[in-house]
Amino acid sequence: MWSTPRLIIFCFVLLSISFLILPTTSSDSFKIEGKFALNNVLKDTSHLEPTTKVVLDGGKYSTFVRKDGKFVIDNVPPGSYLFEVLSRKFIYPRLRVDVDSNGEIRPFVTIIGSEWSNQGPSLPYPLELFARAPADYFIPREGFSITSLLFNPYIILMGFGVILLLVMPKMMANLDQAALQELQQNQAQNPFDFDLSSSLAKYLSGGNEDDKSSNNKRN
Amino acid sequence: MVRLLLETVLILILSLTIQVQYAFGIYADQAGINDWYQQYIGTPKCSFFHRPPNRGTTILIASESNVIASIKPFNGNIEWRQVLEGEIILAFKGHNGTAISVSEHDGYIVRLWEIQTGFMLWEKKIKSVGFNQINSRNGGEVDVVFTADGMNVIVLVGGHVIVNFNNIDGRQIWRSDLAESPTLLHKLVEHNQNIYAIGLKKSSKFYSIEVVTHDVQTGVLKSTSLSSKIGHIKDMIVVGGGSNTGFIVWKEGQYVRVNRLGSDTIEQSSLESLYRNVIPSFAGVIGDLEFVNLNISSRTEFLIQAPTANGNSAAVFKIDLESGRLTALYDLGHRNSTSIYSGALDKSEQLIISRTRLLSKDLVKVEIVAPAHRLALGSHEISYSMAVSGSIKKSLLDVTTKKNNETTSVAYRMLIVSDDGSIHFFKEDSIAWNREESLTHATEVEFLDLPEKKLWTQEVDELDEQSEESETISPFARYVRRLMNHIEQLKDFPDYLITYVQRFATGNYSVDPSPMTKAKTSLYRDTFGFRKLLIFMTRTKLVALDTSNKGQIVWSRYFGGTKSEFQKIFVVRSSTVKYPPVIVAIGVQKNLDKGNITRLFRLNALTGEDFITDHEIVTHTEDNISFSIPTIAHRIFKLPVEEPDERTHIIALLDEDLKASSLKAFQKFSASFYFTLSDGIGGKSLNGYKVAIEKISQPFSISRLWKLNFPEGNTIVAIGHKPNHEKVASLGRVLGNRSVLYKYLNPHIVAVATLSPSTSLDFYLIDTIKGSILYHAVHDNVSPSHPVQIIQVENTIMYHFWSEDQEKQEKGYKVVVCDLYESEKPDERFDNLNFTSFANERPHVNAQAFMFPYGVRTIGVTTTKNGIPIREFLFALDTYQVFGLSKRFLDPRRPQRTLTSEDKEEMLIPYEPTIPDNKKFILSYNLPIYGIRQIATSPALLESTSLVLAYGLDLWFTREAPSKTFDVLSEDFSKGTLLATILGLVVGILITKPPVRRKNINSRWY
Repeated sequence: MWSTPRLIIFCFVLLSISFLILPTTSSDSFKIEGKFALNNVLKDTSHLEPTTKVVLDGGKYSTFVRKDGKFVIDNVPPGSYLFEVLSRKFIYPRLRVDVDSNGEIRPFVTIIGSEWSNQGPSLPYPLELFARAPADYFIPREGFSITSLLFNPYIILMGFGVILLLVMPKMMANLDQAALQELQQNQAQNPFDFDLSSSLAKYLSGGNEDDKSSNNKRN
Repeated sequence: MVRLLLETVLILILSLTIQVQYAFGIYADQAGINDWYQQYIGTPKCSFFHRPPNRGTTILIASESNVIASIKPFNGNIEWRQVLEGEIILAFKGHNGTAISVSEHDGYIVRLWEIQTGFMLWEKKIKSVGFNQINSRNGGEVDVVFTADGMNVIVLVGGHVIVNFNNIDGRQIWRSDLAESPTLLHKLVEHNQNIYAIGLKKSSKFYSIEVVTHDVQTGVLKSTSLSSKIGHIKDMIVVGGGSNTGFIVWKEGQYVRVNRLGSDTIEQSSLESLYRNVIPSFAGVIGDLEFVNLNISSRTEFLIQAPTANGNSAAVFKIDLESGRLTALYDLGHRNSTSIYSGALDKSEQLIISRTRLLSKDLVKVEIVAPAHRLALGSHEISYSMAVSGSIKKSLLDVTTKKNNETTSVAYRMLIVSDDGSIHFFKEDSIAWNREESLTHATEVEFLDLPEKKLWTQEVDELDEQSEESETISPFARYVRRLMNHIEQLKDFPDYLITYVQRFATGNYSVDPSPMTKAKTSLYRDTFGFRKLLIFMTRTKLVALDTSNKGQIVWSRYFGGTKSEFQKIFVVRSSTVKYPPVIVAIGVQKNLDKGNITRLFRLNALTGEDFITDHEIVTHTEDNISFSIPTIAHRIFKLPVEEPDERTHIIALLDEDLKASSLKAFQKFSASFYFTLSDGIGGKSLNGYKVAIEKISQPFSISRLWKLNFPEGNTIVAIGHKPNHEKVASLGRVLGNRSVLYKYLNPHIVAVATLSPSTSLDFYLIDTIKGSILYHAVHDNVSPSHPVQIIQVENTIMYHFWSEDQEKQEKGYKVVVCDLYESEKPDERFDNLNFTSFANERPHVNAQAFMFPYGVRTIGVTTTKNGIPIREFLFALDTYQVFGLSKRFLDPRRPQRTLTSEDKEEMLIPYEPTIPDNKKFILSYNLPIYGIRQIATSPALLESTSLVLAYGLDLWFTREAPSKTFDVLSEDFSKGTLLATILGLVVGILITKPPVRRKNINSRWY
């Protein structure tokens, strides 16, 4: 099926791939350098906490930030790493940093949960880290607001009651004679017929059961 | 039709109210109100006073917990600190505005820090090629010197490698690798552009001194050896250096010899003449002389101390710079107890020496002398409790000269490190501040419920009396006493009223209305059960903290005098009965001569005093009372059975020969006592045991029921622990269609994770009674560099690890949740009425994996009184924060489809591969909680609330309500508005009443 030159090329490709995959036995290790760049979130490097750390692959390699906002991670062997910034003050994006056996370092944007083979947009090297936002741990306290008051279920209930009070007489007036009679009859027999719990249960169970069974249960 | 309309509208409104709002996070004004936080640094390893140019003095400390910190001397507060995670700090030294640290972790790391801010200036790694790693563990083979001009810093690591760095940017100037040489270098001295490295070469029985000299600029090397015979490294010290010449001083036979560095000449003086003529107090010396290096830069003074029959003697010596001879400066004299010495320079460069010793169990004496002028400058007596802190281990002196009119006096301050690991700061005649750094060594913690206030007072006046006594008291006398008691309490009533009104108005329930709050001496429970005692156990100490009052120390006791190390602590009797609560701390003393001893200390948990009952045999050792068992406890269990007389729980000890000891009441229980043993983390197998019941006498013998060997090469990396007494509110999980999935609630289930050399993680669920594997999952490419964490609660098991699975194309932290059910189908249960492990029934495991946004150190889970609120998992993150995540997110039933109405009713969240990285989930907000080893939780009296404690290096305590505080009014609830509304209604009624009445009357008339 394969033509000979194609096969040769295929073999060659395979061979070259196998060479790439083979771990480098020499203790080649490289530096990953970068700095915390300034933007309108991080206005000065002294605003960074001195305890800010950058880590590769969950702490396999790590370093502290320097006072000038630069960092160097030393002795990193070739590989593909997840790069994280451990800062409590600012939010930094996670990066993917690839170090190849020639010491070429290529950073990419990455999102957790995405496939690792799925490289994000490429970034310049040396790394420049831009703070996305200051970390905000607190939720704002909700003060008094007219909308929250209006959407309060009790207020809605009350409003509904008022509307019912106004609308009901008109509705009753509009009903035809037969229906009115039936209704009055019903009410005369059992004025408290409306059973909240049973109808609620019916609603919550999805309303599949018919009325008969619920009546039977009650009886 | 109307009815239908009414129903639909009503249902619409109800469904609106049912829509629970998921509001996570805390409010900014709650921070520090519900929680408290204490920062620690650990027991100092290297510490020094440092005066950076143009700034005040600070204390720089490198600690055993591998923290470097700067401390303010006047109040002991931390200015900054850095935690060197996973490293061991070997050296720490200051120079002008910078400090250098050398630590070890896969080679050596040298870092320069700015003293003012704590920022790192540079970092360099020295690769560990050809190092003698074993030697470096002993310490001493790492040293740092700054050159006189401050341009270079020279570092000696591993006893073999000397590296010269540029102090400004950390550039390496030269490196000298002496790994080939048999000499182990100990000390560096810089003088006159030369770096002298002093080492010892082992030759047959003795050591001989070698000096390796490098040129600072070029690194050119020259090696000389001195003809010397030294028995032990301690017999040699190196003094001087810097602006003065350096000298090596060593003891050889009956002589003390001195060598001037850079020359071959050796001066010697005989010990005998020293004893006889120069230092009179050395006449009574019985042991060997010991050199004490004062470590004062470029000074040549040092101390020699020697033990005598009943104390010790010491004298100050100096190497004369001109002649290079040893001269005696000052005889410190003989004292009756062992002393700790330290030295410091005052402003006029005069050497001041302090001698600190314990006079009695609660008194310390500090003597300050100026040896050059043969002056005793002062002696101070300071109250210090040995029962709390143990003896003094280290002292660090700082002196300032005060000018008072014409007389000059020396003011001193001193940092003291005590045996328990805590720091005390002496200033003149008192202790200025303490830092309870012993808490950084805490290995276990117990929450202790406090007694109710009512019980407390009753106990004091009535329940405390013996039965014979109560028979003699007439009912009338008792009534009068009770009445008097109540009248007595009446005087607190106004206070109570005021606080009650205050509390009502502000809605702040943390203020307890009862006046007893002010009297902190009496410990009792608060309204909601938020107040408990935290009893921490370190190897040698117990410390009790109060959870209200920001974690103040209630009592602490040091047990180091018993020479035993604590293994376990239990609350064996809680405060619910009229008896005081009792804790038992179990310590193990490894004694080679007399055999091993396990000691049990019984303490009253409220006071920390020994708890003694009449009819028991106890051993009195020094000042502690304990039971002794002549064996070593291999594992200790608290059994869920109580002794009938004392109402205390029974403890079972499993000794090294695998025999169990326990009390009589154990027999009834023993039939169902099964347990497992493993070698812990790093072990290779798991064993199941049972107590043999045919023999009734102590100790009980045990028999092995099963052994589970993990595949060749696999080691245990994590073991889950099921909480002992777990309350489960619901037996099943109600689904959207009203059917129930029944939880598999086997109490004898343990989760184990093993890692193979090919980095595949095996996760097992094992039944501990019969040793069967209930569930097994494999994850490939799990990196061992990040620890695996497991947590078990109810029917849920969760584990967290770092995954690099190439096949699944992922890299990151992963968390897997397994929910165990009795059956895959709803409304199906096991046939048996009672659950038994011997039945051959297996759970249905519902598992799901999520990517987790952070690395995790340990995991906790909230516990509430009855387990009604949804569980919240508490993750200690790599960023030193605590992340609270509701079980709702970690739910294997999260559907991977659009939500159906049934899913919505079950309140499921659609599946997403990642757990959201929401900063609002971080419960500890921006506080850095370093070194969390465990997150312990305990229920409060409020069903909604769980008490959470994270400890390790720092302490952080909070209360967390995983399903919001449904049982108390929310803080937002405004009583003022409510009152105003009621008032408004009343006014409205009053206003509208007359017109309505008039209308009614009118309608009657017309």
